Amino acid sequence: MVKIAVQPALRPVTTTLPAARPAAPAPASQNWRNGLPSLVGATVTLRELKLSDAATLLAIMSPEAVSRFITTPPSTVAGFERFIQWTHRERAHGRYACYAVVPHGMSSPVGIFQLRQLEANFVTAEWGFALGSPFWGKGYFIDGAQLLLDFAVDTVGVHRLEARSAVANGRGNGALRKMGAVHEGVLRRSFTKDGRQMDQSIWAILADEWRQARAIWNPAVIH
Amino acid sequence: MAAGQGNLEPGRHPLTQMDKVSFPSAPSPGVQANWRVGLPTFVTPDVTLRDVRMEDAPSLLAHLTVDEVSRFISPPPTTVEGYEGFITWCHRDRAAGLTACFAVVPPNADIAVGLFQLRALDSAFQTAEWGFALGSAYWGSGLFLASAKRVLDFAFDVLGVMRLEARAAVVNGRGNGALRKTGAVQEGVLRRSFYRRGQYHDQVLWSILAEDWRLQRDPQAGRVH
Repeated sequence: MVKIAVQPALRPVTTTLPAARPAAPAPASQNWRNGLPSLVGATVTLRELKLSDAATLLAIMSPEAVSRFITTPPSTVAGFERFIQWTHRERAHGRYACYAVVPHGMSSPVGIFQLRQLEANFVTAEWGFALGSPFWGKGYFIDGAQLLLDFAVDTVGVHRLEARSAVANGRGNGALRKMGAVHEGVLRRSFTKDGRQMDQSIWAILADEWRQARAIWNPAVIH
Repeated sequence: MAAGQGNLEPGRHPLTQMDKVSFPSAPSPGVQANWRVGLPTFVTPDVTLRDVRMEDAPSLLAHLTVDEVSRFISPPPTTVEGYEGFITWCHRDRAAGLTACFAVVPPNADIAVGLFQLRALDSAFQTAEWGFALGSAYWGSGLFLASAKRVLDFAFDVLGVMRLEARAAVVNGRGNGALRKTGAVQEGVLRRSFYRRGQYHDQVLWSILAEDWRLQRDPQAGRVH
């Protein structure tokens, strides 16, 4: 299951022209730029990627089942090390965050969640995720996604969170729908993978929608 | 008329911000790179399109920094110096292969009264986004469509764009109408995706695919009955 680029070079955040869009509401907190806070859920912890995760990520992301709907991930451990270093630099700049998904009782990640700004101040952002196929269907996605969405909305101050997923990626689209994302359209031929052009669905969650939706994930609030 | 969320304010967050490091991706082969040195000039009976120049700054300020033009786009510069900074940015990012900003010059004139911008959404310029702004004195004159055709030819034939996106606030009827007229397809509505003057607006997302543009331009290429 997956989305987004593991490859930061593609689809740069650019929708904006040269500059920041007008100063929209400021982010709630900027401390995360110094280091991502660890987020503990019912079944997984989200923590910052470590350089030593490179070999694990390579093993998780390389299989066709995981990689076929995302931009081509690095093909070597060294490539993933460069990716991890890049995630730290971008995080320090305050425009990107990449979390490792670590199930309780494990120390190595089984997947990642990415969050990146689409315009200055993180007012709008895009997220993506990749989870190793042996770990599908265990509830790790939903648990991790809740943590990530809370982080995006409450800590980073994201107002609108987009996701793109190949139309053919039924599992990825189902996962997004389950989180309450709204299907806003289909981007024709917006994604090229191995020379094949694919259509992508665009999904979005607004901050106030998430504040309402998350109640249903929280047993304490459910009726 | 104007559309696109392109910001006319130069430089604090250049387009390249996410594009710096990471896994290097090679520039796409076969795309003509000469435009990075300077944009070609297109002269037609209806309009001239050329690289934006420093001396356009006062005219752009007069034509674009007015409410009816700018109310649905990110705030344009408010001074001649601001536009000069913007033009400098255009040239820098053009040289880097990231953006192309054409000045719209009416027949029998030599100063810009509007802009068309193209910018890469990926490192190969296969997907790109465009935006435009035209002084209101020229609305309804045919200048938009004449310019748009040249810009689209440039995007698909020279840059090698496969998919060209545009965003326009839902309330921007004129901008959306202009996009529809070029053959763009409405793909969706991005809720609350644009912040302007204290308010979030929904935007329409449009796209034109290279193959559709070619069919439309050369009716013989694919006749529809």
